[in-house]
Amino acid sequence: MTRALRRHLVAVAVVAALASLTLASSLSPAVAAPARSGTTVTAVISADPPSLDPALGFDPISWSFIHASFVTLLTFNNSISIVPWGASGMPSVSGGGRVYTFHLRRGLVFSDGEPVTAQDYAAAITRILNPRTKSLLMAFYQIIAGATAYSDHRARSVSGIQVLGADTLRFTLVRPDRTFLDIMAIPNASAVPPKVIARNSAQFGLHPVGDGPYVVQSYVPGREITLVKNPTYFEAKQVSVQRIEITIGLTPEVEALRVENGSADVMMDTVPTPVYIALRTDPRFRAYLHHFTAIADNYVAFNLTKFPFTSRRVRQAAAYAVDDQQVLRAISRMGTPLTQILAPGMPGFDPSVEPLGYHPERARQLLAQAGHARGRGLPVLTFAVATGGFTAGSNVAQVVQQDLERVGFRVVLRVMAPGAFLSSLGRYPLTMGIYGIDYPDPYDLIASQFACSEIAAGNNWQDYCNHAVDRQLNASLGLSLAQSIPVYRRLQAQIFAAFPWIPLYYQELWYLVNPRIKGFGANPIWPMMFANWRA
Amino acid sequence: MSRWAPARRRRLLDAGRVLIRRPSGAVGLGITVALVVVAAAAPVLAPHSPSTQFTDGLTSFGAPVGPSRQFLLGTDALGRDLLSRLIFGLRNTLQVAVAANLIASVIGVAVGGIAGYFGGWLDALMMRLTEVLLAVPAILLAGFLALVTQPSPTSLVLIIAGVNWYYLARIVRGEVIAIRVREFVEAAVVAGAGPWRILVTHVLRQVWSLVFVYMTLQFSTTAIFVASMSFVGIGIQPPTPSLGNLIADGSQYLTSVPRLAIIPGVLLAVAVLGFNLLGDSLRDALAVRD
Repeated sequence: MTRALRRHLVAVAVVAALASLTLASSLSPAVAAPARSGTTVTAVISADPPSLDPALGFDPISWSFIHASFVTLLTFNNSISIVPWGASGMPSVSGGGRVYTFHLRRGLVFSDGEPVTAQDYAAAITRILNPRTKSLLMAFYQIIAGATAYSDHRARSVSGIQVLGADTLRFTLVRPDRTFLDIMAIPNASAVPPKVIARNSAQFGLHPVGDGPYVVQSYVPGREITLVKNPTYFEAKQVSVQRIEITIGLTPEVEALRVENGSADVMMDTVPTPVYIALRTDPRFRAYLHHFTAIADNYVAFNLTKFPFTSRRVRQAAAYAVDDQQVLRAISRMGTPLTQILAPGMPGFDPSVEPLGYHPERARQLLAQAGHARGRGLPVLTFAVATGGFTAGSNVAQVVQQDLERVGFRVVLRVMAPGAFLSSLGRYPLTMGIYGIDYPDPYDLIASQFACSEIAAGNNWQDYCNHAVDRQLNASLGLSLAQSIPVYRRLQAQIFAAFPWIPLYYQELWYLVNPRIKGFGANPIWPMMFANWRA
Repeated sequence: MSRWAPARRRRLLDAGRVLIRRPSGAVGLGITVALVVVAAAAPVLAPHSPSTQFTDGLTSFGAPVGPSRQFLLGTDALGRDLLSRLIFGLRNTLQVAVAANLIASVIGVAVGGIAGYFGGWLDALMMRLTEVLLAVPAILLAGFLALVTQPSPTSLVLIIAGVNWYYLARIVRGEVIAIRVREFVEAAVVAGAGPWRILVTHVLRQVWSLVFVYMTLQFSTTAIFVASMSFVGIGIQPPTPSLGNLIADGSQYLTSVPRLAIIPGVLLAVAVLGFNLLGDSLRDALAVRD
């Protein structure tokens, strides 16, 4: 054997041995022992929360941390009903549904010892409306009278926010809006300490000071976050876990391995499909798996302004062409077929609505009726997909692509990083879409995705615009939730009849949690309810 | 026919005999030939289309099925035949790697030859440009180019070629600087040959064996580069298979269905081994000849 051959074979053998060792250790994790005893919980997550600042964090993970660190006047319980939290009770409503008066409960204190007052809540909302803050939530709170003038620098304060005393706060709205209570329950509506903000607003997201169940003891971006129980929290006795140590920067596969081998208690990311396949049939981990249906829509959006999807018949053909069962198999059945715009768990969801189903022959007939028999005259369609779990991903896209091509469409995938994907919205005829709720009111799911104004805002990926629908959506805000349900069911049926989507699925989110952690119940709006955990 | 042709043919045959007699050369040549044959005959050898998602290719819960008579290596996460995807993945990877390597070699020889022969400010300019480009990580530069262009096999080949010519340019430049002062070059100048004719006909002909060896060794590097680009999602786009995206997709299933990553990984390793052994042996065989 020559020296060159020997050298190469040795290199290959070393690499193979290393790979085998890695594989062997990963294939047979030890049955998990507790990572920590007592009241310290270890968790793992793949990336930093985008922001811990209530004015800026606008994603489920950031909301989990903000909800743990701050107290809002109202909040959502696990049944997504709005309940008082920082407020002593639900607000009184007057002025024809435009005036909301809140009274704070006693005993609210920031972790630096400063008492929480009504002024702190007023300042927090005003801060969101200040353009210098660059908050993505600004549009939510512009329902408050005077907010737009303030944001446009035409007023020095928001006239619709009145501090009536140390513990009394009044909001006056531009018009009656049922969803105002929802936007006061999302974590962004938390009181923030004005002195700390005045010292260093830009760094508040790294060193937040709040009044919630936990305090951020340390935060090293990219490495770790440590939460410790806040002794000044007004319901501190109900918080069981003293300390939560979170390691940042692991891939979901490694996160799962850590929980399986006992070196972590909670995997904060959802279990990816390949890991789910392995764990689903392993009896050792049956008690580790928790699942919840996300209140979110997964779909393929047609661009209604781009040929050939200007034709309803062509859209209908494409929708009928996709095998929803094959799509579900591609995600290991971690979901159920999407039947309507409203999602399970959302008020107004109608369980009697059947899925569209798989009808390839009907799809071919519809294409022929539209003048495109066997795909004649159809251009090559670019299908935009984001990587990294941002949307359903390239696996589902490939299923959709194959099904569309079977009936005559020609489709090429354009897989992009999330940033490039978002900046390309509106450019391609097909886009892999997802929308998760901001708050559990049907208006959010329907208006955010189909109102004309949401095209420019970047949420209406279909470029769908029907002013009659818009008028009915706006009018629905003045109704009670119960009164509005029939309106939304009618509107979503009307929108769906236009075939703006290839409906895909409602996703089931699976989490991996050591059974020693009790009380792990993901809120449908933000995944982690740290204060409910018991170890 | 040149009066040098019979002598050159004899020398090539001698080098070929030396190559085959060495075990490393024989193994490298055998692997390379086998892979090229498999890649060329992919449409004939693959039992299925690489993109067809079979309904019976997944369990009812969506897990890939294991090896069977219908799917000799089992299926992947979308119920596609893994063996067929491997064969076409090898073909697509080699096509891009070979084309990119050839173009990169042409660019490298041209830049290095011109810089080395003409010298002066041209040499300085070309080498400084080469050094600046060398300082930029190739995968980052390729990734940026992939993002701003419309992805296609052609653009991928050009991008990879565009970030892989630097080393050869520097090597050829060094050789040309040494060759340009040799007597036969001076004789050609005295005989009245123009500079471009001298460069192409006399100087570069002396470096072809070095270039050929470098190209062979670079095939493995380029193949890994193609795989790396596909692994990070900026190379060959799905559903078209490549060894890189097969490994990337399979790596997610390492703990549940390890064959999805291991088999394409082993195939890539064998390909790299074959090209490296062939290149090493060619270098030795051509050196013996010289």
